[in-house]
Amino acid sequence: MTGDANVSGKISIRNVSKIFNENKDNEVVALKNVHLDIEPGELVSLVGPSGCGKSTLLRLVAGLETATDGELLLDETPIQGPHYDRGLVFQDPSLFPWLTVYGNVASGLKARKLYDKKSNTVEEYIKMIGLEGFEKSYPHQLSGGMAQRVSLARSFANQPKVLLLDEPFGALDAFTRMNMQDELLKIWTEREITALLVTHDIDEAIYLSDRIVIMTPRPGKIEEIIEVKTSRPRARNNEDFLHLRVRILETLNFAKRADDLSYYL
Amino acid sequence: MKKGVRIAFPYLGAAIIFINYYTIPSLAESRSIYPIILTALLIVYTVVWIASFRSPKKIQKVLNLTPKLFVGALALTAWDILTVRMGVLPLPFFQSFERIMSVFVDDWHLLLKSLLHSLRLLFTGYLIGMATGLVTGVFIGWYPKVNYWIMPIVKAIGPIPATVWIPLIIVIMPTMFGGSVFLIALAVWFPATLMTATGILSTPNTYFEVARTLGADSRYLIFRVAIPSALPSIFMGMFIGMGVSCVTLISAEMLGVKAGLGWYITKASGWTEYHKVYASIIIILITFTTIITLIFKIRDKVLVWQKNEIKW
Ligand SMILES: Nc1ncnc2c1ncn2[C@@H]1O[C@H](COP(=O)(O)OP(=O)(O)O)[C@@H](O)[C@H]1O
Ligand SMILES: [Mg+2]
Repeated sequence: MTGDANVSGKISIRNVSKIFNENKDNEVVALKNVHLDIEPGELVSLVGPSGCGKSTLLRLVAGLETATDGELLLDETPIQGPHYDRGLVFQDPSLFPWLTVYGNVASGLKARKLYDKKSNTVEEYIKMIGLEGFEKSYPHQLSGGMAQRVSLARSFANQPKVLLLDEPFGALDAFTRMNMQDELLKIWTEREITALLVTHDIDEAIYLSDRIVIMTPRPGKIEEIIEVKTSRPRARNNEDFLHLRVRILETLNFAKRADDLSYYL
Repeated sequence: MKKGVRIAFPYLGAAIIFINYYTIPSLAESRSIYPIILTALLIVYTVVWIASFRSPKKIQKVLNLTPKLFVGALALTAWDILTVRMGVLPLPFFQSFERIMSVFVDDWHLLLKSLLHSLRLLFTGYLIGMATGLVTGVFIGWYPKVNYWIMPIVKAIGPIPATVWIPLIIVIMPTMFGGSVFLIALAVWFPATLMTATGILSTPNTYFEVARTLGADSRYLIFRVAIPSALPSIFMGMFIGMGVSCVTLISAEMLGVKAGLGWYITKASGWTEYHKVYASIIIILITFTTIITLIFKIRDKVLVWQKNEIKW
């Protein structure tokens, strides 16, 4: 039930580089030669210290930035600008402050003129994020975690084929976070969407992903890709996880960034 | 201070006014308007006071008002003593309260006619100015090219008081009413344009990005993102616009229009009937305050989504 039934959700990132401030004296190489193929229906996590270009990569796939070099494709078609097929959950909730919780969740359907047909689904997503009774609240009346959940519901309600999530559970308490992770898994399974998730939480990456992409900064590049073979549904205290955790930390350590490493422990 | 004392303040103030009124002899013939107005005000106060019993918040509101009412009564008494009781302040520039009030009784027909004429002019000009200002503001805020070419013109013409154009408008416009409407619209157009454009230009880019990833077209981006985000600024423009349109209206009426409150003031001061001047100033004050309060009310309804702290 996505916008375009012919979108299957294969993302190809081919040798992409992104340089900000392209005058020679103070350019930032946010990404250098990033190459990554994401299969339809795959769930891939991006982890790495801040500044390694995770958000930039997501914005490139969303079509909000253009690559300095290389190309980005969705189902072999070049990505040109944003499209509702590629939904993005921003790092900040960025809710529309003039709309209520309900209005925010419905905003995608309204923008696409689907609201008249699908207005009944809005309430479902509000229920999913556990904010029944808050439909008429405005964003300034919500806590950070509630706002973040509304932002998730806003993207989910739009039913994109590709879901790009930038640290979506960062502002949530531990219990809500686990809840929302399971909701994400549920939606991901039901709709067979492709998901690209940025996270600071290694356990979250291991619990959710098919593959974990470890990135390192200056310049931002892919250091290693780790496959999580554990079958689903996964137990959060799975034995394999400890193994993977050590391996990821070692990879980040291999990048000689002990100060950033302490962040994860 | 005890509640009982505070409630009694206005009655005390009224008593002082009455004592002054009936004991000190007047230099002018008394019209007994003072006692009627005062009694009416006391009745209103009493009714409001009784009605406020329903909620503690309302009681507090009334209690907050009583010291002001008391001091107001003292000021009125002082005014009365200095003018009509002792004649310290010279006539005709200083007029007693009762004389000013008498205008409302004697000349209410012409005053009302003037007020209605002014209101008609004000609203026609204001609405036209606001509407065109909104449109130009949106265009300037949305299209960088329009911003580049039109904004300098707006900035150059804007700060010139609209009344400067009166001689030119008298020549160009076929009717004085049309000319005045144009003048007021021009005066309102400037702040409306500027504040709308500013509001749209300062819309955080993330809102546009969010909307675009949700599948918004430019229509949605303008009407459902940029304009809502600019609304606080647009309301600021509406307030500023109301201020300048009132000033422009009165000036226009003083200079050429043969009706309205501005015309009434000019005519009255020509005959040195300053009590009439003051009476019309009071009407202008009341009207202006009412309109501003109304816009405030609308603003609070439309902008419920704003955090309370940034309200002004
Ligand atoms: N719009 C921009 N202009 C200039 N530099 C930017 C911009 N966006 C990101 N950067 C820089 O690119 C690098 C990667 O940023 P980002 O993708 O946000 O990293 P991450 O999300 O991994 O923390 C950082 O050094 C950041 O300062
Ligand atoms: Mg980031």
